[in-house]
Amino acid sequence: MSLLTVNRLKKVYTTRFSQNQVLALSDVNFSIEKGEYVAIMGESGSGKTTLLNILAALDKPTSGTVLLNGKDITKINEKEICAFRRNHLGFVFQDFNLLDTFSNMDNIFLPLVLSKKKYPEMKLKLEPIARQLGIESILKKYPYEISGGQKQRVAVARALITHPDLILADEPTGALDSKSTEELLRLFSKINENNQTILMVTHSIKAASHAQRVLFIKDGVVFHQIYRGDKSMDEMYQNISDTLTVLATGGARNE
Amino acid sequence: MSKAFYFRLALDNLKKNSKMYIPFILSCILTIMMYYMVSSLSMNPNMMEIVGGDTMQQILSFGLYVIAFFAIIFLFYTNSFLIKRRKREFGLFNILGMEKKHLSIVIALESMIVFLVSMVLGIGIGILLDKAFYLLIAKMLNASIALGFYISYQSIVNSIILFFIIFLLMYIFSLIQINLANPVELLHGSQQGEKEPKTKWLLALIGLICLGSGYYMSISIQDAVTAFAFFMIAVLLVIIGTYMLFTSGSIVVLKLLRKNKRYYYKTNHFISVSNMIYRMKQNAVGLGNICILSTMVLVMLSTTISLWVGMNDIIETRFPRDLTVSINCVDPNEALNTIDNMDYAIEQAGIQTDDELVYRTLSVSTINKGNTYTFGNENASLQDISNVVVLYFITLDDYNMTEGTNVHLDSNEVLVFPAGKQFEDKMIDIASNTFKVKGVLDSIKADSNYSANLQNSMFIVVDSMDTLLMIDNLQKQAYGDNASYIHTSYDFNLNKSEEMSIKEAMDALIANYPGDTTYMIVDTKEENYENLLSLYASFLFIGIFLSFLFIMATVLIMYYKQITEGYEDKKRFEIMQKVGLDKREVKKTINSQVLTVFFLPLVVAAIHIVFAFPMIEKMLRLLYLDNTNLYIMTTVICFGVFALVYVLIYFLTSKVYYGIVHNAM
Repeated sequence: MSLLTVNRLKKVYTTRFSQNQVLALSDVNFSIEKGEYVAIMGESGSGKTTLLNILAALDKPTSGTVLLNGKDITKINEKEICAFRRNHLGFVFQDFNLLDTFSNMDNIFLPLVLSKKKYPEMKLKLEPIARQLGIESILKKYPYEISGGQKQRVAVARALITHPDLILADEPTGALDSKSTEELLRLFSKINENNQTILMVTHSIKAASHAQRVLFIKDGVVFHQIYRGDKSMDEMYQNISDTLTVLATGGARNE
Repeated sequence: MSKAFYFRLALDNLKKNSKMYIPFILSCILTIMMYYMVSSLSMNPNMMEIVGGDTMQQILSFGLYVIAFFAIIFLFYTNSFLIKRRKREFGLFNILGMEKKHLSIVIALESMIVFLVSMVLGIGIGILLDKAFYLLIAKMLNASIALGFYISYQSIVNSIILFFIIFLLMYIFSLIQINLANPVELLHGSQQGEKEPKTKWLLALIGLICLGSGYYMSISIQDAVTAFAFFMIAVLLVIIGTYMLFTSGSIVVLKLLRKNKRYYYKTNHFISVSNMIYRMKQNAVGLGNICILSTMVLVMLSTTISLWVGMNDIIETRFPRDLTVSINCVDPNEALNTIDNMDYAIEQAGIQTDDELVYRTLSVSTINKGNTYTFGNENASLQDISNVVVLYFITLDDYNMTEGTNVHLDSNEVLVFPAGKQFEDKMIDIASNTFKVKGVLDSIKADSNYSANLQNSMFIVVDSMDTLLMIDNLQKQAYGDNASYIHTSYDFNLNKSEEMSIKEAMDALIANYPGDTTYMIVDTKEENYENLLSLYASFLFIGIFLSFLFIMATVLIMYYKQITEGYEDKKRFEIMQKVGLDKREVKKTINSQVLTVFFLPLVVAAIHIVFAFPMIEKMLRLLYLDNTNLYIMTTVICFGVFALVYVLIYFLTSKVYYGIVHNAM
C-alpha cells in the first residue's frame, strides 16, 4: 500500500463578497510510496500551494480524499488534527518559521513539548539528528544569530525530531543562497537515504533534480511526471527543464 | 506637488492610522479640556465670592502646573509610540521618492489637523463642563450659586499657547526621529529589538533593595512627623524599585524558570515563559508606568476622599468646643492667674458659656530610656530622636476639676496617662526626680486639644502647682531660650440661648481680658470648619482631576500595548499553529499571558498600597484624621472601583488585541 494516496482532489475557492469562484485544483490524483523523494513543480497559480495546504491538513478540499497510511486526513476532526499533524507530518518552510523567542534547541523541541514529552527523552532524540545535520554548535544560539542556511537546517531538525511519516517541504531553498541550497539538497538526499519520505514543492529545477520523481502541476491537475530512474543529476535537470518549456509554451498532455 | 495634495495625504494618513490616532486625539481633547477647566476655575471671579473659594483657587492654580506637567509627559509618550509604529510607512514614502522635506510637510499638516481638532473640541467641551464643575464646587463649599456663564478668555489663550508648544515640540521630536534614520532603517523601524534581553542581576537586586527599604520605612516609622519627612523618599524608592523589578527582576525570574528544565518543558510553561521574556523586555516600562499611575490614583483618591468624608470627625476631634482659647505664659507666675483672668473676661463680656474645659499644662520634650526621662542636652544624638517623648504635666487640681474627681496625691506621687502605649513602670525618673506612679489612667479629658497622635507623648498628673513650677524651672535651665511655657487652655461652648455670634464673643473676650494677650490665641470651630472645608474640597477636586488624567494615561498605555503586541504575536501564533499547536491551546496560552501582563501592575499596586498604609495613616493623623476604619474602607472601595474600571479597560482593549491575533486563526 502506498504511504500517501491523493484521489480526485478538488478545491474551489469562493470569495466572501462575490460570486466569483476560483478553481484551484480540479482533479488531482497521485500516490507516494514509503521512502520516496518526490518534487512537485508548477508555475505560480498552478495550485501547488493549495495542494500542499491540503496535504498538511491546513485546508480542507472541496471534494476528494487524501489517504496517509490508509487514514483519510480530510476527515479528521478539528480536535485531533493538530496532534495528527504533529505526530505524522514534518514541515520545512521557505521562510523557516522559527520563533525568535526560542533558542534553536527549543525551536527543535517545540513539537515534542507540544506532545508532552519529557526533557530527557527529547534530549535523547535530538542528539543523533543534530549530529547528522551538523548543528550541534548552534543549538544554544537564537535564530536571529545564525545564517539562513543554518536556520533551514534547524527547521529540518524540527521537522525530523518527531520521526514523521512524511516531510512536507514548501520551497525550502527559496530563501537560501546557492551554497546553502546545495548543502540543504544534499541533506535532503541523505535523509531520504535513511528511508524518510519527502514531498517537496519547488520552483527550482536544481532542487527538483535531486528528487526521485517530479510531478508537474498545471491548471489544477497533475500534468506530467518524470521518474529519475538511473538518470544522472544533469540528465534529470535537462529533462525537467525541457518539460517546463513544453508546459510554458502550452504543449499537449504527454502520455 | 500642490498644497492640496499634501493636505489630502495628511488626512489620508490619519484615516489609515485611525486605530492609533483616534485614541491619541481623544486623549489630547481630554487633556486640553481638563487644563482649560482647571485654569478657568482658578480665574473665575465668582469663585472669589464663595467662602473658601480663594483657598481653592490657589490650590487649583498649583494643580494646573501638575496637570500641565503630566500632560506633556503623556502626550510625548504617545507621540513617540505613534512615530515608532509609523516608521515603516515613512520609509516607504521615502523610497517611493518623497524627500524628508516633503515628509516633514505632511507630518506638520497631520500635527496641525490633530492640534486644531483637539483644541476646538477640548476647549468647547471644557467650556460646557466648566459650569458644571463650578456648580459642584459651590455645592461642596455650601455656597449659593451665582447665575450666568463664565468663559475665561485668558484660560483659552493659555491653553492654546501651552498645547501649541507641546505639539510643536512633539513635531520637532518626530522630525528628529525620522531624520536620524535612513530609509532602510525606517522600513525596519518597527521590527527592531528582537534580541533576547540580558539578565541584569545587579539591577534586579538594587530594585529589590529599593522596594524593600521603601516598604520598611513605611512600616517602621512610628511617628507622623518623621513619616511626613520620609514620605517622598519612600515614594521615590518604591518607584525606582518598581521600575527595576519590572524591567530586570521579571527577566531574572523568568530566566530562572527557564533554567528549570522540568518546569520549562511543559506545553503551557514552554510557550508562556519564553514569550514572557520578550514581552517583559518591551513592556516592562509600560507596565511599571501603569503600576505607578494606578498606585498614585488609588492613594490620591483614598486620602482625599477620606479627608473629605472624615471632615466633621476631624473638626470634632480638633475643636470639641465652639471656642478654644489658649494662653502661653512667659512668666510662670502669671499662669496662676490665667483662669481667673479668663473667668473675669467672660463675665465682663457678658458671655454665657457651657461645657467649659479648663486646665493648664506644661509640655516638655524628654529623652526616654527605660523609666528615666531626661531633659535634652547638647549631647543628644540623632539616634535619640526616636526616643523623644513629650511629657505633658498637669496639676492635680486641674485634673480633678476637669474630670470631676477627687483624687489625692502625695508630693512624690504622679498619675500617668500613657496615650495608648504600654506602661508598667512603678517608678519614673524625670530629670533626676523620682516619682512614684500611683495610677495609670485610661483617658484624660485634657488630651483633647493635643494630638497625642503626632509624637510619642504622655500625660503626667503632678500633685501641685509647686511641683509643676519646679519642673518648669528645670526645663528652663535645660533648654534656655527653647524652653516651653506653661499653657492655659480654656475651651467652652456658647450657651444655646446666647445671642452673641461666635465672632463677637471672640472679640469681646480679647478686649476684656485683663492679663497679657500677646500669646493669647482664640480659635473658633466655625472658622476652622470653613478653612478645612475649602482646603479638603480643593484636595478632593484636584485628586479627582489628576486621577482622571492618570486613568486616561493608563488606558492609553494599555491600548497601545495591546496593538503592538497583537501585531507581534500574530506572526508567532501563526508559526505555532503550523508546527502543530491547536487553536484551543493557542487561545489558552494567549489568555494566560495577556492576563499575567495585565493584572501584574494592579496586583503590585495593591501591594504598594498595603505597605503605604501605615505611613499614610500616620500622615492623615497629622491632618487630624484618626478614623483608621474610614481610611481603610475608603481605600478598599477605591480599589474595588478602580479594579472594576481596570477590568473594563482590559476587556475593551483586549478586544483590539484578539481582533488582530484572531486573523491568524
